[in-house]
Amino acid sequence: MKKVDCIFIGGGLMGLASALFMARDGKKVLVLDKDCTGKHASGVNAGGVRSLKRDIAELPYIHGALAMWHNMEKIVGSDCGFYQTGYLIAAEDDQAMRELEQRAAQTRELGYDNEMLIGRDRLRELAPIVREHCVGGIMSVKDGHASPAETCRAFHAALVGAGGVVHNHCEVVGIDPGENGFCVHTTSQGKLYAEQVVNCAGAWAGKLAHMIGDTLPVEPVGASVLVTARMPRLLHPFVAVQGRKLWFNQARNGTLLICGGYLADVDMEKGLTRMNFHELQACAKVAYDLFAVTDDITIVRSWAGLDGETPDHFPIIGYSNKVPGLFHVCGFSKHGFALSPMVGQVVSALLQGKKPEVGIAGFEVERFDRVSDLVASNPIPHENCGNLSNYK
Amino acid sequence: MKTKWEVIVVGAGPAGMACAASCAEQGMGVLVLDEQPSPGGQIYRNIERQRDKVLAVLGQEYLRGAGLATRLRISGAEYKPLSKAWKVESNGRVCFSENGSSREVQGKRVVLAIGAMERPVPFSGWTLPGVAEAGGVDAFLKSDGLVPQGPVAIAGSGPIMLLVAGHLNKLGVEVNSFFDTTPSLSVLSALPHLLPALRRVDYLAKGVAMLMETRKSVGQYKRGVSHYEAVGAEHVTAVVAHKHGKATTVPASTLLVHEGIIPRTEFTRQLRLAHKWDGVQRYWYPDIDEDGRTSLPAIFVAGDSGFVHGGVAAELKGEITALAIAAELGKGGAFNEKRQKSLRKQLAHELLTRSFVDAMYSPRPNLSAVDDHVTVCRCEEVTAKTIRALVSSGQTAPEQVKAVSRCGMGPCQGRMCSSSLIEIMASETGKNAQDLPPLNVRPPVRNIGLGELANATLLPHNAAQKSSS
Ligand SMILES: Cc1cc2nc3c(=O)[nH]c(=O)nc-3n(C[C@H](O)[C@H](O)[C@H](O)COP(=O)(O)OP(=O)(O)OC[C@H]3O[C@@H](n4cnc5c(N)ncnc54)[C@H](O)[C@@H]3O)c2cc1C
Repeated sequence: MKKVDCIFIGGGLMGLASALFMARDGKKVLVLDKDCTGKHASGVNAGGVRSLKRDIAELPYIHGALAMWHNMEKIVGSDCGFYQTGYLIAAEDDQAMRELEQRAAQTRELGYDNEMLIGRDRLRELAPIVREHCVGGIMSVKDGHASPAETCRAFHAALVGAGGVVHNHCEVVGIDPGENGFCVHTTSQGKLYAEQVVNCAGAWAGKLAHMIGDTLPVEPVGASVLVTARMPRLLHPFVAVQGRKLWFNQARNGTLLICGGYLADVDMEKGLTRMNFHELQACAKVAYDLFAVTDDITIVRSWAGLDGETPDHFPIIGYSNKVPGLFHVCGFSKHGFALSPMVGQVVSALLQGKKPEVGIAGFEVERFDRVSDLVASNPIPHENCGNLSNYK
Repeated sequence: MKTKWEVIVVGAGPAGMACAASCAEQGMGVLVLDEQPSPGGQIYRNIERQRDKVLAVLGQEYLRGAGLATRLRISGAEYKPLSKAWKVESNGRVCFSENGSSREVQGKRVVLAIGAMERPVPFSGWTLPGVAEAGGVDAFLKSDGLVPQGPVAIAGSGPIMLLVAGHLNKLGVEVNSFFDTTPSLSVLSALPHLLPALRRVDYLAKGVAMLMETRKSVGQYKRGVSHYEAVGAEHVTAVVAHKHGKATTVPASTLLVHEGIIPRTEFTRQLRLAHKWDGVQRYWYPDIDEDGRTSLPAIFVAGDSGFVHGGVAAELKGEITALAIAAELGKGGAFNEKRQKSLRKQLAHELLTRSFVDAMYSPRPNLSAVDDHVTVCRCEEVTAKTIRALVSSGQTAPEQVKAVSRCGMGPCQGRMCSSSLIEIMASETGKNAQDLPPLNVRPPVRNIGLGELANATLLPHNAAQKSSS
């Protein structure tokens, strides 16, 4: 079997996007997935593309990604279902409003002008469903919503179009690093050889790293979403409330999606999630507190998916410091969908030894070597993490 | 209300009633949950307070349910009407909604006896008002004494069609056309099963009599119809039947269709239990043993939701499951083994004709050959064209097509479209339907209010639930 330039283990968007941009640079790439592309986090997430209140460290990525989301038709031949909705965070009192003002000032100083403060009247206009007591908020109009399944389908198709090869139902069960690259053992394709290997295995990234003799602090996590029956138009933007664990939005077809980093039970033996109705009940309670919703809003289903989570909820991007030629792109901690197209460009550049458009400072795996003891004894509180309520 | 029960039975049709009553008679604490206002299920719906006029139409077979309902009432089982189960956990927990409020209860054993449903089949015009499932007419008749507006056309295949035509005839509703789509070759594939069936001459004779009666009572009886359509702007006004490439149009205010019966598997799918494919009747059914045991020790399936065998068999199966549970929970009486043997014998006798009837009325091969413009998923308005386009773009699993097209994602959670989705995908890919796994179902399996969830009384989330649920 001929050796390829790079094997990506994991056919989520991190793997698909990175492989796509590398293939377009003429490299031979292989994407392997034990299930099929887009089966896990990338294909089943809530589709939120949010720059608003993203952590400062991720701003270069999300702004790069946003420009791409608005231009997806040109990049992958499909708009990926992306449309601009805007994101809005309401403040319940003056204290919360001050926090939002500080945040807006901070991003403006860094050169981003998308986060705008809005007053009470504008808030009522944009999201009449938010309870009366809210005094104002912050908004980013550029943000939006995309279809995760369609995005995965489009990236997969674009990758194949660019000469990349995808093997579904192909689980990696062993990896031998050697002098001249890697030998990757798979369930359905036998041995495969590559110069470099990328660990983009999502919830399984920790397990995969272990298989190669590396260690990564990436744990599987289940995130869940509640879906209601279709409603007449109640709001346009994604709406959250400062300091509370909730995102509320109305999809194009009229269903409301309610989430906020509420967890699902995880069964890694079977590789699946189960709904945890204590979590979903907490989610419904907060929705009730903050939104003027009535009982004619019915829940018609729920869903959950698996992602990989790091102790500080930042992703890990970069070469392994233990196994030469092994590259990690994982630990997106429930907020990686929006970033994925930009991550793909950066990773593709790094794998080819080129200078990426934005750096990876702060995302390298070494940060855990330095602070591993500290993190273990003092984990960052869980409460406001995850894309959907990431207020760090 | 008690939260802990020895047995929780979901569904009060023949299987659920028999199982619950038998368990309670043997001294177990039993809770029965059912969506309907009174016991009976589909077949014996509203049996306790039925109008005489309707009783006269439905006859002896319907009356059989009265005894069962009484047995349930006096058995000591706690029967909760208007209670919709919306989640079942592998450890025996059940969430249900009653009067707009939800609570969670715990059973040592849970028996899923939620019955069967008519196979939903899309065709041109099927979403028009005035188009209904044939069995649905009986449901209205039983619950409210209502009859459809004539002229009525009936189309499709299967014994239920004959039954409904007979009922309408007795009620004086004009059935102007009866379009039978049963392929004539079906007789050949059914023949090998005729020998055992002959031991139930009573049953076969009844079938033949029904057929003769129907032919006499309806305006026109057309055999060998390949497919049909409903026509109309706001309401169905006419029905078009196709036979040998020729179309016949008849005026109709109501079109009743029937294309067979399939088990309701929403809870067994929600529990991610293994399912098997029946190639004759073409449906997925849960993999259970002869007592209704699943691979989860706390979960049993009884009646038609395990495999469609009809009301009498369902009752026997419910009883068999009850005895198995009694043995497991150490409640079995001295004669249980003997009873179990005799029940199995009765069940075998009841099923003698089944293979014959199933083969005779196997779904016609062109069921999924609908025109591109036809809506397959009503909730999310997904057409056959969309599904076919996704299949030809390389999507090979029903879950993938669902994720991209939203087919099956609406309020009914795919109840109305998942079997058609599988059939369309099978014929597009040339794959065997058994290689196309049924869609996943996530709770709540029935719609509940957002406030209802916020205020639900749930049992504490325990470690056992986490690892094994
Ligand atoms: C319910 C939910 C809602 C979310 N909402 C949002 C949101 O609104 N906005 C947002 O930005 N982010 C959101 N996220 C997060 C986002 O979906 C993820 O961060 C992102 O998709 C991660 O992509 P990935 O490629 O790393 O992982 P995945 O998409 O999970 O891909 C990893 C793949 O690796 C494969 N794999 C694993 N092990 C092996 C092996 N040994 N061999 C072969 N293949 C293997 C898996 O099968 C899997 O397909 C949400 C996540 C969830 C679960």
